[in-house]
Amino acid sequence: MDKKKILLIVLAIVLAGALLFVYNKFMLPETVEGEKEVSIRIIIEEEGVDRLFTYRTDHDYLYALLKEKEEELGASFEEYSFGVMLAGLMDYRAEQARNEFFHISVNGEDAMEGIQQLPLKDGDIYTFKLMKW
Amino acid sequence: MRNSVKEIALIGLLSATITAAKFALSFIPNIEVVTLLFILYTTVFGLRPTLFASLIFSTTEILIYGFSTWLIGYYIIWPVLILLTHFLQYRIKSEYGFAFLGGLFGLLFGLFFALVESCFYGIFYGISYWIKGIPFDIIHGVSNFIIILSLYKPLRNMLDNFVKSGFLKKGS
Repeated sequence: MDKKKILLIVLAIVLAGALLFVYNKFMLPETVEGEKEVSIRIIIEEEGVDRLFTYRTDHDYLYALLKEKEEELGASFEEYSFGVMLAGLMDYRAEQARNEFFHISVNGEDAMEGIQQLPLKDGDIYTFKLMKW
Repeated sequence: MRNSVKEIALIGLLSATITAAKFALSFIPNIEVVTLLFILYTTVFGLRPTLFASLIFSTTEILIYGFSTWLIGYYIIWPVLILLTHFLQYRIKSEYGFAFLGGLFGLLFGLFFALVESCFYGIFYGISYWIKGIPFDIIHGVSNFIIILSLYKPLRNMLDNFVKSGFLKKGS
């Protein structure tokens, strides 16, 4: 392989590193350190489910809390190459064949991140509502 | 070779190699040789067989992984890459241009799928999907650039030799 190609490959790797640094530094939502009280509301209208769970936690991200309370919340997850997706709650799995998914909102506002990127903040209510697209 | 048995066999070979290559690297997130192969096959075998191969590849993905909304995007994005390659190949004179095309394609991959996802789940989900996938798009774009820069020319020479020897024939 000629020197020009090797130089371009090195430059591409350096560029990737720089872009990933910028993403992690500026585009990921900030986390809050320490203990916080958060609530998780689960709505599955078809099953008549509307439950509210309140937890005190030191976790930074919602996924860590969901994982810790997996059994109580009846949560299940699916791992993809791009990350973890919430597949079920209260032992109810969202059926892709029926176009179902769990819509996430934070304090009533549509979430802009997935469960792995959503930071936990004191007093926040995370609502998971089974919806169809 | 239009509608010939040879073309059907060629399409089968192309789609099989692409599916196998995708499967072989599927354990590494967003590092793939599918982009390289579509670009390579378009420039060597032409538009028609590569377009058919992309349709078979996308359908095979559904058979392997099950139906999902992101797979709909496959029926659009790969043909778009093939068409872009087909029309740009007369301007792109070296592997550097194709590496740039593949790199850009990888960087924009997540954005395109975010648009498709938005149609099903809403704009906020689409934005979230895209932001969440940016690190994967960066890896995808840069790895495409490196893979095409390193492998396009030797593979192109090899396939051109196959075509010259009559072992494989160009499509229409």
